[in-house]
Amino acid sequence: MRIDKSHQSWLFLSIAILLIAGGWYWYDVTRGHDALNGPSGGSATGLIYGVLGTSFMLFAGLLGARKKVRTWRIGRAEFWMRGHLWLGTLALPMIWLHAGFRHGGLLTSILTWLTYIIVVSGIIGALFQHLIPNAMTRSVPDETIFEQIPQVLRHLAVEADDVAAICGPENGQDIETWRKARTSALRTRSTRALMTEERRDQLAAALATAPADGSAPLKEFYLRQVKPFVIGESDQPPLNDPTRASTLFAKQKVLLPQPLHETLDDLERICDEVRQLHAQRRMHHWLHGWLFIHVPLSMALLVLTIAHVIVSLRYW
Amino acid sequence: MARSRTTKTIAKRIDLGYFKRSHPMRRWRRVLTWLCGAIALVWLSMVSTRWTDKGLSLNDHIHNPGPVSVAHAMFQDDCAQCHTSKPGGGFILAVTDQACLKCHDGSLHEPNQKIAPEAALVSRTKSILAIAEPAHPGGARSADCVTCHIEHRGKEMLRAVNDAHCLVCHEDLPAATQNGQPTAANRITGFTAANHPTFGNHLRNADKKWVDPTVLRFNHQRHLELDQFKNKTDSCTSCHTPDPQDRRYMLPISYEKNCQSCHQLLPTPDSEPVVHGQLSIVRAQLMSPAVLFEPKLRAMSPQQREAKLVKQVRVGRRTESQQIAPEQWIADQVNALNKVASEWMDGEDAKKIPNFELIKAASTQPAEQNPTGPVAFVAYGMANSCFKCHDLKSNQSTLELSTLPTNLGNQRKFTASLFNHDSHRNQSCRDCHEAAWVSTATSDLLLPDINKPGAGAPSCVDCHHADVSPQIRGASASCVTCHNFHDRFLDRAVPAPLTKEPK
Repeated sequence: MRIDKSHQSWLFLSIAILLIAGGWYWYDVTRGHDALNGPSGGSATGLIYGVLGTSFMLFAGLLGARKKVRTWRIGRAEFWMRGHLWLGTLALPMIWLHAGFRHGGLLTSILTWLTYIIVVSGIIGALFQHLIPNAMTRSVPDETIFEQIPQVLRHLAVEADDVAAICGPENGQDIETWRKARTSALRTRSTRALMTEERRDQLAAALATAPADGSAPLKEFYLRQVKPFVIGESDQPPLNDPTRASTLFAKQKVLLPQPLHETLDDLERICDEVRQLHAQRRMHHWLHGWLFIHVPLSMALLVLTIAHVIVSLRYW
Repeated sequence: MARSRTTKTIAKRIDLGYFKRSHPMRRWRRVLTWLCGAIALVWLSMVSTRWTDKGLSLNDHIHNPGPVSVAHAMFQDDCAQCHTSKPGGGFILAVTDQACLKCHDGSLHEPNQKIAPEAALVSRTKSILAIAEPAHPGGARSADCVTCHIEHRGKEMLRAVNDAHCLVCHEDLPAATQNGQPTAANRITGFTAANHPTFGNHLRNADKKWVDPTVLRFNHQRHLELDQFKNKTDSCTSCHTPDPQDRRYMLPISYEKNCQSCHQLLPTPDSEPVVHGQLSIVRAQLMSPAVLFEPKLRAMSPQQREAKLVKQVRVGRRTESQQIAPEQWIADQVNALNKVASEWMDGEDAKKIPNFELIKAASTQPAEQNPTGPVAFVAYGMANSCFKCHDLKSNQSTLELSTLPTNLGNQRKFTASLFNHDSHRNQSCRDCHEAAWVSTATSDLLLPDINKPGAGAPSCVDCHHADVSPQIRGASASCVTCHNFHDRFLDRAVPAPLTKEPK
C-alpha cells in the first residue's frame, strides 16, 4: 500500500493518540498516582496503556482474518490496511508506556522484543510496499501474475524453441521426422505464444526449408547462450543485463544474413521478457519476503500476549 | 512487429485455475505462522509447568515481571509465597500484608503516629499509615506494605522508597501525629538546609544549645597540639578506629586502648597505678595504700631496692644513711602520702569534689569512728586519678566517691538516621569534624551540620542533593539514604522459621 495523502487522517489521529497518551503518562509519573512508585504495568494507568496496546495489536492482527472474509461488509480493505499500519505502529509506544520503558522479566522481555521485530519488519515492509511497486512498473513493463511466472517462463522457453527452429534440428535428428513434430507442435501451442498469425505462418514455412542458409552461428548462439538463459539453467551475464544483452544481440546480427535478423529480434524480445520476469520475481520476494518474519512472529506474540494477560491479571 | 502482446494473448498463457492452488511462498508462510504459534505454546507450556513428586505443577517464574530484591531471591520462582488470595479475591492473587508479615514484623515508624483501628480506615490522605494490632510492640504495625515497597524492580528498589511516601506525613507532621506534638520538626520536605532540620535534634540542652552528652573531661584541642598528633594525617585515627565488624561506625574510646599509655592512674608518683573501671577495687586499693607501694618495691632490681631502702638520719651534726626494712619504707611512704592528702584537703583543689565538707569532716575523725577508712587519702587518690577525666559523685551516707557514667560506647549522635563512615572514607576527618581542632570541652558538639562544611571541605548537601544534571550530579539525597522507616526497636522476633518447603 502506498503511503500518500489518503493516510493523512490516520497520521493525525495517530499523532493525537500518541500526544494524549504521552502527556497523560508524563502527568501520571510526575504528579499522578504513579509519581510515588514510578510507572508500572500493574497500575491503573499502566493497565489502560496495556489494554490499548493489546487492542491495537489485535486490530492489526485482524487484517489477516479480514482478508479471509473479503465479502463481509465490515469496512473497506483500505480502511483495515491503514488501521493495520498506523495502529500497529502505535502499539509499540503504548507498550512502552504500559511497561514504563522497562523490559521486565523473561516473558515480558520476549514480548517486547517480538513487538520490536514485528513493528520494525512492518515498517520496512510498508516502505517496500510504498517504493517497490513504482520500481516494478518502471522496470517490468511485461509484468505478469507472480504465481504464473514459472508457467509463463515455460511458454517462453517453448516459444524460443519454435523461433529457433529455423536453424534446423538440435542434435542430428532425422530432418523429416523433426519437421513433422515441429510443425504439429507449432500449430497446437500457437495460441499460447505471443506471435502474430503471419509470423507463425512464416515460421511454419521456414520449417520446410530448415536449416536456413547461414543459420549455423545463430544455432550456436541459441544453444550456448539463449536457451540456457530462457529455460532458467543460467541467470548469469551477459543476458541477465539488458545493456550487455543488447550489445550481444547486435554483434550476432552482424554475423547473420538479413533473413535471420527477425528471428534474432524475436529471441532478443523473449530474453528481455524472461529477464523482466526474473526481476519481477526478485522484487516480489522483497515485497513479500518480510512477511515471513512479520506474520509468524505476530502469531507467537499473540499466543504469548494471551498468556501474559491471563497471568498478569491473576497476580495483579 | 513479430510478437503480438495483447491482453488476449497474454491471458492465454495464464493458467486460469492458479488461484485455487496456494503458491509455495504463501503456503510456507502459513505453515511458518502456525508453527511459530505452536512453538510459542509448547515453550510456554514447558517453562510454565514442572513435574514434581506430587505431579504436574505450575512454574510461574517466566511471568516474573522483573528481578526481585536480593532478600526475596530465594522464592523468586514461587509466586504463591507472596501472591495470596484475598478473602473473596477469586481469580486474582494479590500481595497482602499477611504475606509480608510471615517473615517481617512491619513495625511502626513512630509510636506517636496515627493508627487506624481497622484496615478499612488506613488512609494516606489522612496520614493514617498504621493499623492497630495488639500483638505488635506499640499495639500497632505499619499498614499496606506494597504501597511503599515495590517488588520486581530489581535488587535495590524494594527499600528504595520514594520520598513522596515520607512527605505524606512529614510535610505537616503535627497533623499526622496522635497528639499533634511531634518529636521531629513539623515540616521536612527535602535534604536542604531550608527543608531539613539541623542534625542532632535530641542533643539540645535546656538552653536549646547543642551539646555533646558525653560525661568526660577531654580537651581535643590540647591533644591535637601534642607533637605526636600535630599536623599528622592519622591524628584522629590514633584513637578513633573503625569497628572491624561494622565499618559504618567507630569503635568506642576505651581507657585501656586509647588513654592508658600516656595517662596512668597514679595517686602519687611512687605508687603503682590504681585499676581502671572497677571502683570497688580502686577504693580498696586507696583504703589500703600499702598495697600501692609493695608491688612497686618488689618490681625493683636489687640495686634499686638497696638504694631505696636507705633513710637519712641526723646523728649530731652529721647526716648518716641507715638501712631500713621494706615495711618501714612502705609505712613512711603511706605516712608521707597521708600528710600530702591532709594538706590537699585544706587547699582549694579539694573543694571541687562533691560533698567536700562532709568528706573533710569525716577525714578528721579518729580511725575507729571512721569505718570508711582513710577518707582523705581515698578522696585525694581519686581526685588525682579519676577526677582528671571523670566527674565524681559521692554517696551522702557512706561518702563513697564514684565516677559518673561517661555514656561512651552506647551513644549514637544521629539516633534518627544512619551514617556510614566507611562510605565517606574519601573525606578526611577534618572535612567534617573541623570543630575538634578548637574544642576545649567535651560538651562541644563536634558534628558537621547539613550545610556547614569543615575548612574548605564540601558540606553534606554539596554531594547529597536532588539535582541530577550531569555537571552537578550528586549522591542520593532521598530520605531512605539516611533514615529507616520501620523502628527496629519495635520489631518482634521473627514469627516463624525462615524455611521453605523443598521442591
